Amino acid sequence: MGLIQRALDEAGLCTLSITQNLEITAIVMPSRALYVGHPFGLTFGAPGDRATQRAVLEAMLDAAATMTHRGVRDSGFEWERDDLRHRQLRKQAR
Amino acid sequence: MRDERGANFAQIERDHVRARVYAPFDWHPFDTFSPYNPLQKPVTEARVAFVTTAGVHLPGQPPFNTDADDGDPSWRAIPVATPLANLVLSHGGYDTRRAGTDKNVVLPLDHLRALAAEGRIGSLAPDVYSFMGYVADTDRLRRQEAPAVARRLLGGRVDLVLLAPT
Repeated sequence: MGLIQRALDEAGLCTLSITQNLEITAIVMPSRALYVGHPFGLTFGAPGDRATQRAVLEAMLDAAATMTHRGVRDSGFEWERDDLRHRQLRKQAR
Repeated sequence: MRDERGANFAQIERDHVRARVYAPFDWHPFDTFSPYNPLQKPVTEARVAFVTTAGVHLPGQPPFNTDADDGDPSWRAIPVATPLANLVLSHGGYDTRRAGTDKNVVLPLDHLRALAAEGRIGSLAPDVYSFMGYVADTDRLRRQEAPAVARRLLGGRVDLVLLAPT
């Protein structure tokens, strides 16, 4: 994702991405990213949780409009439902 | 951002890919941020495009190659009016069964269309661009495929591009 964003940035486009992992974002260094602590494959929230899905998207729009410098903003979204994200970060789950 | 501390995910992921999938794999590090191009108009007036790496495609489009050791850097353009029920997920890097029950979790098309209808964003670009997130050999992605999508977005006079990983 970060490499795609870099290409769009270098072409002159205004971009804002979600990052689910700060280490990889620190390696790739795209212009602007919003950190969302959700599991891989559940980027915007749980299936059926329309309120969270919408809120994450709204947070992207807000960050796109108000982040005036490069780097990462913390959205505050974290995953509390189960240990899926914890296991994914250790390659114990997909 | 508490879950990140001590996870050492970048090294774990690199070691996993090297050991099980693509031995030459390594991250492609940068020492400077890519350019920040400010939004030139309010979001309520902006034409917004969406890029996903969820491996989404139409049933009539070729599926992403989930068998290639070095990944698949190709992309698909999907009309933004497409019902989510009509989309397919091809991705080996995450369990697509969860997203398969509600694809808004990786491609929030229902919400994007609602935001446009409500005037929260000016309009949506005609196509969503979809990649498959596993690309271990990144040369073609960086030099050909992503720049090709950039040209299409520029040609469509897009004001803002939102990108979401899986």
